Amino acid sequence: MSWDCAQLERRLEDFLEGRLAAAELAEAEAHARACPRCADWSGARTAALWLHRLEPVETPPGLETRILALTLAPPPQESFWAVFDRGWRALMQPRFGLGLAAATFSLLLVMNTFNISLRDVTLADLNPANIYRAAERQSQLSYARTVRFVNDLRLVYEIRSRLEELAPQREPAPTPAPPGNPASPKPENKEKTPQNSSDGARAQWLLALQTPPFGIGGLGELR
Amino acid sequence: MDDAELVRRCLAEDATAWESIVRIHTRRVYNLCYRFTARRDEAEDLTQEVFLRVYRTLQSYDASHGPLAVWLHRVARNLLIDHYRATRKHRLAVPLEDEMIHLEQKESAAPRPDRAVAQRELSAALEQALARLSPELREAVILRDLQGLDYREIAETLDIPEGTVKSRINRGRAELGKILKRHPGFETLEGVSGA
Repeated sequence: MSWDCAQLERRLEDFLEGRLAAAELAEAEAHARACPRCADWSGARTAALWLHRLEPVETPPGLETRILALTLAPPPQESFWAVFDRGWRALMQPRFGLGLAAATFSLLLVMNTFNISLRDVTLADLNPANIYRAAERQSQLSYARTVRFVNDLRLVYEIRSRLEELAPQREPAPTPAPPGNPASPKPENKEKTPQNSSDGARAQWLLALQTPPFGIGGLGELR
Repeated sequence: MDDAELVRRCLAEDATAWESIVRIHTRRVYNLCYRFTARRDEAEDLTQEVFLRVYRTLQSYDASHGPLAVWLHRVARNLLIDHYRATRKHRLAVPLEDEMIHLEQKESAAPRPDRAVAQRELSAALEQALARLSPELREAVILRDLQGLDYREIAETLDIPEGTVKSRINRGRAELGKILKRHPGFETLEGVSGA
């Protein structure tokens, strides 16, 4: 009596690797040849048997020596000029050249913005402590300027709004037109309106003069 | 001398220890590479590359994680998979059918090959068929049926569960059986036993 599928699956490794007893093997083989589901296992067993009998290939002569030479040989020493030449050639590639030019341009732009002149730089300026101190001072100054500017701005707008509130109260009441000449113009009114607006502008101008703008009075005091 | 001691001496720049490692494992690694690629020149290059990589990363070997042979297999396996991926396009350009037809024609053209020649040709066909398996199935079959590793060692080498190892090996063998079925002499077990 031959095996069924479940039996073969249970002992599949033993079947494929030739660990079954002769009687068991015959039953398993009979089932594998007859069952369409297990037909592949018969070929798999033959393939495994062939694989087990496949002779190991000989290593090519000298392979071990070549491996030892490859791994134990000291790395080739490059001269200073060879290293320099390799680095220089790498730097001279167009993409690195363009990158270098862009970086230089950006650096010059930043230096120009912050009024940094290389002529004024002394050796002491390169001291990390001095760089830190200068950077801290610069940040404090920038913060103080900003605060002062915001405060000044607030004051200006406050005074301006007060003036605008006061402006209509100082305006005189319009004079009624004489009954006999309704079409005649009123020169007083025409002159009064610009006069009022120029008063407001003058007041704002005076206020602006009294309040030092950003970067002049504030800086002078801070410096 | 155990593996840990050999590696320790290698790291202390003892050339004889490294020489021992190379001499012990070269044949095995070369066979693995050859079975995987089915090309001697590629196998030789890959074997050198495996040992170069092992030499450079020897300090990362941990004896508690398994014998040196398993670690070497793992390094070789990673390299072989990389190599397979890099050369897959080229391999796919030559269809398997063409190679099998070529082998069959070669056999039928022969007057009446004797047993040794037939076996040699079947072995060659087996190597070709092996090279056509997917890398997952191939590495599992090679490690088991050609390298003789047990399931636990293969599971450690491939970093997959033992159940998956068994399944891949069996599927790989079945694929090989299907590929080689058309080859004359494959089904005759007498030929196998006489090899």
